[in-house]
Amino acid sequence: SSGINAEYGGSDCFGGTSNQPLHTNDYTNIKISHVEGIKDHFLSVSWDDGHSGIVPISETGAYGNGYKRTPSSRYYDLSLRKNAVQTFWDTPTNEVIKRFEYSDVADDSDKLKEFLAHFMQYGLAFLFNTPQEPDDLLKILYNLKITPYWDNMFGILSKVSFQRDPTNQAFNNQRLAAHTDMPYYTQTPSAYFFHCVANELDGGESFWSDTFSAVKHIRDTEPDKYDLLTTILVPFRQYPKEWHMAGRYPTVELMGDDIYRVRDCCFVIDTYQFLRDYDAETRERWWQAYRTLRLLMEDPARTVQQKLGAGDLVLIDNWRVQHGRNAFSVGGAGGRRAMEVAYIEWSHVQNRLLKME
Amino acid sequence: MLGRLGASLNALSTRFSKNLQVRTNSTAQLTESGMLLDGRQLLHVETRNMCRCEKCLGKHSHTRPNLPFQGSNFPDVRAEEIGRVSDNFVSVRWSDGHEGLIARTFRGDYGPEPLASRVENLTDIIRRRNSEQIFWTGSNPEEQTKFWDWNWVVESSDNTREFLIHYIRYGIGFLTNIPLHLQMRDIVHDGLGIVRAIRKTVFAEVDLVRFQNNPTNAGYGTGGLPGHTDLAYYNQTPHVQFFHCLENTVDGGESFWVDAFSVIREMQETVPELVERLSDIPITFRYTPPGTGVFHLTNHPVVQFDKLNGDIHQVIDHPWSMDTAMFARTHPLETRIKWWEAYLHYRSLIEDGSRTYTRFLRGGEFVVLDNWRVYHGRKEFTWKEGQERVVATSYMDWNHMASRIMSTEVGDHVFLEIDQH
Repeated sequence: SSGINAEYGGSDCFGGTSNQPLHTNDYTNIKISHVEGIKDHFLSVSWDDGHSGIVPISETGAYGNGYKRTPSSRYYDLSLRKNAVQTFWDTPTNEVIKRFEYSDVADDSDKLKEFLAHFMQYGLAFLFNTPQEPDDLLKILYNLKITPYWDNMFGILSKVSFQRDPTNQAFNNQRLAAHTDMPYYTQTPSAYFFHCVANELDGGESFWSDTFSAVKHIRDTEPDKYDLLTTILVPFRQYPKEWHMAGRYPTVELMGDDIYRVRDCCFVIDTYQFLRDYDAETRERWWQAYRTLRLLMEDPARTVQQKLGAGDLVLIDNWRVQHGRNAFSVGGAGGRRAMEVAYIEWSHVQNRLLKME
Repeated sequence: MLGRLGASLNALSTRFSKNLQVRTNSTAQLTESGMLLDGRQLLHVETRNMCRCEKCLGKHSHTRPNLPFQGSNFPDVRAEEIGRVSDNFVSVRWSDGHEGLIARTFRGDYGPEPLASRVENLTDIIRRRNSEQIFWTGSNPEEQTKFWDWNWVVESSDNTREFLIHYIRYGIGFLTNIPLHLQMRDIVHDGLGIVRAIRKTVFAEVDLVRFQNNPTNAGYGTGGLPGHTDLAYYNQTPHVQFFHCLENTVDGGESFWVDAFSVIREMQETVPELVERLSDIPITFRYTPPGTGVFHLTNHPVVQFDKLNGDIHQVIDHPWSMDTAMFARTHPLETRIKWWEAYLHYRSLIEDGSRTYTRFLRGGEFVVLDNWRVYHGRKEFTWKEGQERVVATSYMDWNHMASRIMSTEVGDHVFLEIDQH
């Protein structure tokens, strides 16, 4: 290795090509026997097992052999979903609805990172002037290098358009209240790209609202209800033909004190199972708390609403921002409403934000 | 569609026209807060949300096309009248004018056999309840290490289910006699019938683990790998893991597995305070191989419990991806001292040879692993020209496994029997 370990005398402990320790022995009783001194980002140390090596004393030194530029701390904190760097919104400000030009972010890695950082900050980000043909979404993801995407019960690419006998209510033409997708998955998808291929029918406006803002409001004003939303496990179930997806989760999940993830899709709450999991008194209190949340989520003043046009693409934090649509007309003189959706897990979005080129 | 809906609604009206008065009986009766149904108290809003008529529940989706409990409808909606009571349903009229029916039984709520009985009998298994799992001890090695014949497993859906249930109980399942030409997708999709299953990761859809010079991952070297779980640095660590041994002609390199849940259960009984530390204190895992453009990191506690019932739910432990430097920056010394005490005790039990099943995998053998429960590792091996050790690995979401067990077969009738009400 020509990296820093070569300069300091070898790479017995740390793989130069993997950035992983080469040994994971039991060092329980080991002690430092001698400290040589500091050079640059490292401290030279000897241990009583006879080994001499280097210990990083900075983040630059800790991230592997050689000097490696670390990602900005803001990007780092955003990628870990820390509330301190997120902006909760209860009204659609200009920043929330800011639009990014697709060719800008596709051609410039720094601008793409800015786009992703914006998404992680607000839970929502808009691209315009993307390719508009069916299946173009996968090409877009490939061009942005945000892969791999997540195969799920709806396939790699979910095509959302009107069906006469819909296997999912997204495929009818009725209003869909605000919700998050696939809450019944053990690992509910963290983000998805919502791509408008065509939107020529009357109605069908899309809308989004920030659950974190609503949850914070409840935490600040009605802590008892907040406790219920974070502790009561809500069963979800989706069982169209040949599938049976089920799971139980709290509406709001925390990471330490941070609001981390929300699961809320009223169409698939398994009330029948809920009766068996909790007594009536607990459930009644939960329904009261849930109603409080739903009233906030369905308040038009807290909602971004847009009629997407062909080539518009929205990146949505499915653990935070709920989405829905207004009813739309079908059976008229022509026209269609065609949306395509691809899901992606958080680690792959994070990777694109943090990776060094 | 409207014609059928109209016919259904007319039929429902008929069920009420003969019962204008509120029915009170031991099966179903209205109460101030809702309804007492078969001894179980339901709230008004719950009854309205449980309506199974075709207007409220999509016949093909089994989800609600409308939203009976949007904020504007809640909490005012009330069940006002009970109508006909049949074996599986109860007719109800609500204060919003809607007439429908709610289920009394699993069969009514989920659909006809066999789905209803699977839901009733297998729910706890697919939820990985510890009460349904069998933690490894020295007394049952034959059962947990049993090799299932591929041809028998894929012969019928029931056989496949039996194998998958065995896998859930033990956290591991071994298959043998897999034809050598079959690849991962052939085995998982076509053979086991788990569609849209394989989850792509930073290691692509199928990772061929074989020796590389200058390995970008410890798995591609020849060194031993202590027991671990995979992809700890992922925000959502994959749950189900497949190992397909394609070829193994090296010296050494035996695979081994350890049931972490049995270790945690022992620690809960002997040193519960140490378990608490492992579940309370998150640590950082990181994977950033240089020059690859890969940058993954996240925080997890090593042990996680089910919030509802306290079951052991998941372990995440990948020693050589631990970001010890970051741990030292983010946690005070006192916390780290306690954590290391707990972790080293835990690792001493994981690495206790008496808990380990070891096997030299042969070409054509296949392992299904619960990556949230069972550790895997390998002993070091020597590689010479002409030798090979190639193991294909893939990952899958738990729900697709559970769906394979619970779902009906292609062509089975799953629609509700409300016409018989």
